[in-house]
Amino acid sequence: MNKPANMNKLTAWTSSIFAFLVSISLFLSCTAENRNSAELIPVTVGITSFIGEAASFVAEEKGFFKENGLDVTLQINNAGSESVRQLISGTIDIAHVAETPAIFSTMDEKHISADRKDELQIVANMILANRIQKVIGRYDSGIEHPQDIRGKRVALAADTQLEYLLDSFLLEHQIGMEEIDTVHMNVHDQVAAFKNGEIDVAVVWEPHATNLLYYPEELAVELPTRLTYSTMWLVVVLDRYSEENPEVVSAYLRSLLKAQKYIRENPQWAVQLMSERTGVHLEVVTKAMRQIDYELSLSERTLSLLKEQKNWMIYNGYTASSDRSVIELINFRFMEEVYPEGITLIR
Amino acid sequence: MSIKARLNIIVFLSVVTIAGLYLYIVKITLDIDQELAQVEKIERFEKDVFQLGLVTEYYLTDQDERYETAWISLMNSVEELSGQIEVFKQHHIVAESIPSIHEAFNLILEINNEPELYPDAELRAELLQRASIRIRADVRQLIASSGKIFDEHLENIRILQVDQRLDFLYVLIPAILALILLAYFMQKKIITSLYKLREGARLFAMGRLDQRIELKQDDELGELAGQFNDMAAELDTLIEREKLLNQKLEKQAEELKLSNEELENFASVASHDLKEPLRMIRNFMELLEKKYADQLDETANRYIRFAVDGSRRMTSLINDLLEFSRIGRVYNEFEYVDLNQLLEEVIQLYEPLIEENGTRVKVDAMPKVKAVPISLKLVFQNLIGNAIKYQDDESNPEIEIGLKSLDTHWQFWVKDNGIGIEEEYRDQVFQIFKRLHGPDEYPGTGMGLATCKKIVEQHNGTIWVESKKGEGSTFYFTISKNLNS
Repeated sequence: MNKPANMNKLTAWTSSIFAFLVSISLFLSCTAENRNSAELIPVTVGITSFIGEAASFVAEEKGFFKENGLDVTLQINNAGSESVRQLISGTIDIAHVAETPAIFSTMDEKHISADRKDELQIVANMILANRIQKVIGRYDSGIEHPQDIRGKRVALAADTQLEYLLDSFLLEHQIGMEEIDTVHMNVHDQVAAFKNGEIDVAVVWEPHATNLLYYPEELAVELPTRLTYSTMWLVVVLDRYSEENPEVVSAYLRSLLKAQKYIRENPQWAVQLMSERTGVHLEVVTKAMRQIDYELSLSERTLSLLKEQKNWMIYNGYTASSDRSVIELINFRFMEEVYPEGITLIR
Repeated sequence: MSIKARLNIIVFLSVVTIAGLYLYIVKITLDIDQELAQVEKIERFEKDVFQLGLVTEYYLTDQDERYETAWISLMNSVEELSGQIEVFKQHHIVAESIPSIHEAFNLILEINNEPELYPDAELRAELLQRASIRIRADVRQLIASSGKIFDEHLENIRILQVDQRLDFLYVLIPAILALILLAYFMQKKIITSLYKLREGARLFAMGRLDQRIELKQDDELGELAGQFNDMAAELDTLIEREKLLNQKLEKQAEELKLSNEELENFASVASHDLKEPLRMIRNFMELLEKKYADQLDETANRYIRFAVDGSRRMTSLINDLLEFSRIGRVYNEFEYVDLNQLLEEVIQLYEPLIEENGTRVKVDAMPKVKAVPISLKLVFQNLIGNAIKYQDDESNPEIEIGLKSLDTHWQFWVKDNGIGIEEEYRDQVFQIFKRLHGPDEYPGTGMGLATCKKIVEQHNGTIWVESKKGEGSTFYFTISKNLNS
């Protein structure tokens, strides 16, 4: 008699546990669904379509933004300076820029709109690279050496770090700005203009530099400089945004960090993706990406380069302001939270 | 799979496990050593880069040639170390910062050493500033990167050391446990099999040959069990066959015994019953001779003598036959016999003949032995009688009676210097009614030695003769020291 009674009790317990587990599963699946659909925070990020943006494209492609609760829209611009303007105007939430537009926006009054209430802040640097910006001349324009660019049509994307690069290049080779014919043109347009002979000299970053140098070969020559320029690709936000949405900024950096790890572990896949996203030949992207370390950082180098930019602006008379220290532009809070190992800057 | 193969597998697995672990430990140790060597180089690199930055600043301040020399030396060291640090190949910024620093410093040197190339002082100052910033930025980057890489390598070493310990836990312990389990199960299987074999052997030893060892396994023990079973089956068959044979023999022995008994009874009855009519014939023949001898011619008297003599010999024959039949049937009580006394009685029996022939008899000291007294007396009586009887007329008979104690038997002999026996007759002399001489030459019934043989066999002994024609004979016989009724 006891045995059936025990069995009934056991069956009842089993049924209860099963029902409980089913309920929990349904609840969890419902909440997960809600979070996926309703809790994703919309974020618009201004980016430039070049290989320094690999982490952004990978994070979007692999869903790392969504994993961190963000619904990221990538706003593709021609240069970081454009993204800075959109950031200041409130069109986007986060901008990816080089140090030149960042410093321009902060120090050079002509770039700051009168009604701007917020200061721009740097939360992280995304890449470490040297020599990914180059001055390239056409052989058939009679250019083989730096000195040969005198009187030639030199294309320049204004308000970008390329402006600093060209300035240093001219300074090193003692060529006055007035000795060249400057043609203002964004980097993307420079490629076509260089290949069809509209310009004699292109000042570009990768992967366009490789594209011009090797496709086709013997068309172009890289003009040497001993003042190699280091490239940064900064994540910048406005003060107010970081104060109001700290979790978004942290989540955004976490997404990039994961994407960078993925790139290091899957370089071929990343190259393929970047080739598709930038429309640049696979071999070009492969060569170009080999020159870049994808790693979040805030280092002394970052500070040095920012200082260099500031000095350059003062030297060229772009700004008289030197009151504000460049270190004040950097907000360490998010890197400290997300990737403290990347901070090597002495504070 | 055979036990040998299994043992080989265990040994092989043990060797492979130990070798694998040893190689793994060696590899981890080498990896750690390699990491340590890299860490050492990274540390030196970081230090040299730091000094390079310092020397750059000193040079920018003083433009002293010492600093220029030191800078070049440090840069050579930095470049050399950079080439030796494997991980730098994956850090483009490190690989590219070094030539960047070098080029910027060359520009500084060129500006300072050949100012005529840069006549504009303001431009020269700006260029120097940008070049120095360039170097500072790269130096700082190198210090930051190498410091981070240094930390990563230390972490790698820590992980390797932890891995090494964990691998010992995760690999060595399970491997050893697996080997122990394997050895345990194998040992268990072998022990179980051995127990079965032992139990099977025990049953076989107890005579349970119908039992079989149930050990169906494809190894040496299985094979051994099969051989045990085959052996048991073979033994079983042999024993059954032997049983049948024994039964047959027992039956035959029983039949033979009955037949012998019947024959002995017949001989006893026949000889006993024959004696009376024979005695009557002889008496009447003797009476006939006595009363009518003078009335009968010589031929008739001679015939009567033949008849009397024949009946006399017939009587002796019947008496001997009667004695023969009594051996083992009537004479069957074993008791201790003083052989000295027994032999004295026998010699006394032959005293008249001994004196007549001048026979010399030598008797060794004899023990007391267990035997049927009358039977043993008959043996000595027959052998001594033969020794006295079978002599030629010319020599003086000499008889020697001896004894030897063997392990289980007493051995006796009766030696004479008589006529001897030809070799071809030595065995025949023990047959019943076998005579080598005619009654006229040496009287007798031919029963004596047959009677001896029967008595000796009754005493679990043997009898034989050693002799040479004309040189006498020695009759040997043995009796068991352990006789029971």
